[in-house]
Amino acid sequence: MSETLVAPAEQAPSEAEVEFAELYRASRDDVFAYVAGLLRDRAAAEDVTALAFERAYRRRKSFNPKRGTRRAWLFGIARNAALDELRRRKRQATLAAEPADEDGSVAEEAAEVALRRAALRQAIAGLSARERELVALKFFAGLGNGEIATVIGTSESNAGTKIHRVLEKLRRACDEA
Amino acid sequence: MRLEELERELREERPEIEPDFATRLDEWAARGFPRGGELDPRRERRGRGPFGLLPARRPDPGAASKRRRRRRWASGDALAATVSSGLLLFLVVGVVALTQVETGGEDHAGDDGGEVAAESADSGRQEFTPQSGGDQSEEARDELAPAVGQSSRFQSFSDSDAGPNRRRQAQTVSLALATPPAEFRESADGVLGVVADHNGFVMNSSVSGGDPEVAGAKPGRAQFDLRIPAGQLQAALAALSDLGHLVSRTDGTRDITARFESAQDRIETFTATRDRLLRQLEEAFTETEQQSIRRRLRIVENQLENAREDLARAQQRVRMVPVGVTIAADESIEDESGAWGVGDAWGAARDVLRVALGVALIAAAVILPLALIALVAFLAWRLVARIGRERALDEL
Repeated sequence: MSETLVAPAEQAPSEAEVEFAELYRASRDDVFAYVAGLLRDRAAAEDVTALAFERAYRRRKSFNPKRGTRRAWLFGIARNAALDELRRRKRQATLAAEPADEDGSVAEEAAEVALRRAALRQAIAGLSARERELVALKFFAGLGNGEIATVIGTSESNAGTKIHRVLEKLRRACDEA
Repeated sequence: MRLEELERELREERPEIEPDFATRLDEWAARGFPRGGELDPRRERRGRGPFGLLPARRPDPGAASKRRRRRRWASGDALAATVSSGLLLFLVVGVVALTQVETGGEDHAGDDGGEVAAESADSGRQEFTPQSGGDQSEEARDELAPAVGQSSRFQSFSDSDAGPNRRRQAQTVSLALATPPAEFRESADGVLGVVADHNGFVMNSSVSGGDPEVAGAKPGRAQFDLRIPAGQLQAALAALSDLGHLVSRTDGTRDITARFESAQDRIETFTATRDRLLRQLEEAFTETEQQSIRRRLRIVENQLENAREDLARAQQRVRMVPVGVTIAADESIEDESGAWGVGDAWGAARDVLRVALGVALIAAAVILPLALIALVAFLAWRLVARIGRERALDEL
């Protein structure tokens, strides 16, 4: 993450390139987390993450601050790339196992925590794609409500309301489990 | 479960990026996301396996320069290329349109000129009469004599076509030409050549001064009184106008229909009188009576001959048009043709701007509708893509 983007030629990086490098460093893991949460497919998420950053890099000069923050702009590109991937595949991928699960650490967790985690994952899996996207944007990528509103094309208050409803739905599902 | 607790656990569910993928992505980013590189997802989609498991690619010696070229293309050159392509298209469309316009004009002129040339060659003896439908012939004559200016509004016809209601018009034309002093003699000699070429003749001529071999000679001045067949008048005027700079042209027409009719009436009257006198002469018994009739007959025959001469002169007046040509040597003409000054530059610049504006207008007329269609198609494509994406999210 400490590596900086270099300029294409042997000249000093432009202001747009410097800003993009900062955006890349600050958002790389968040973009992956959002895309992986939306697609539920690690391999596809890696492809889409790389594609999203490449698209954003090519269009870095087209960013307009009046239309939102840089992160919202980047996540809009990532969202389009992810939805394009969904259209292309036309299939529903299963959520890739998290590394934490793969290394068997679940066995070491307390039984109560493990059960709660399992219930939460089941509840997330029961969400619709739009609801899961909101969860991914809010809790995986760490976007604010204003940025989420920009990404999905709605108002900030509407985005907040939707997120609250999703949380209520998840809580009910977890409580019922 | 409390909301705060749920939110914390959701954040703990966040998918973490694989360190290996993160490293490769950082390297790709550090190189400026070159297309076709090892981390380019599009290469993976062409069948190279999952993104993070791509095999190492054999190094390409020219890859660095290719990447630089691609980056330059993607950054600044793309805009320049787009603008250049647009301008080129703009220019090509304009030039093609202008070429088509000019070709159409030349064809039109050529057709008319050919018709008029044939008409003039076949017309033979001609006289002029007012014709309301003579515009086409007039236009054609203008093209034959482009420097002459406005041509006569009369269309030629042969004597055999002359009906009782035809008006007989006698034309007169006078031209004033100016030539550079050095070309004065050549122009004056050229008048005789034009007259000969068009079956005319010189009634009077006067050429003075302008001799280049005489030191201190007066400026040249020449006057010609010519007769040109009406059928070849326009062609002759065009040729005469080419001999120098046309300073002025004066066209005159006079209706001599009454003169025609008077001569014809007198001929008929005198012919009838002569016939009647001849019959009286045959019936006369006395010598005195016969001498009296013969005297009257001679008078009538003289009058008849005069009437016929009047008619012939009137016909000749119509058939052969008097053309006065004045040629004067003018030093300012030489100055204008020899030097290229600010006025000429202004005129050339004006012509260039006029052509450029014409090209721009024509090209805009072609390109703007195409651009509008392209814009609508682009917006429609974006709308369809957006709908498709949202639908994909709903169908997941």
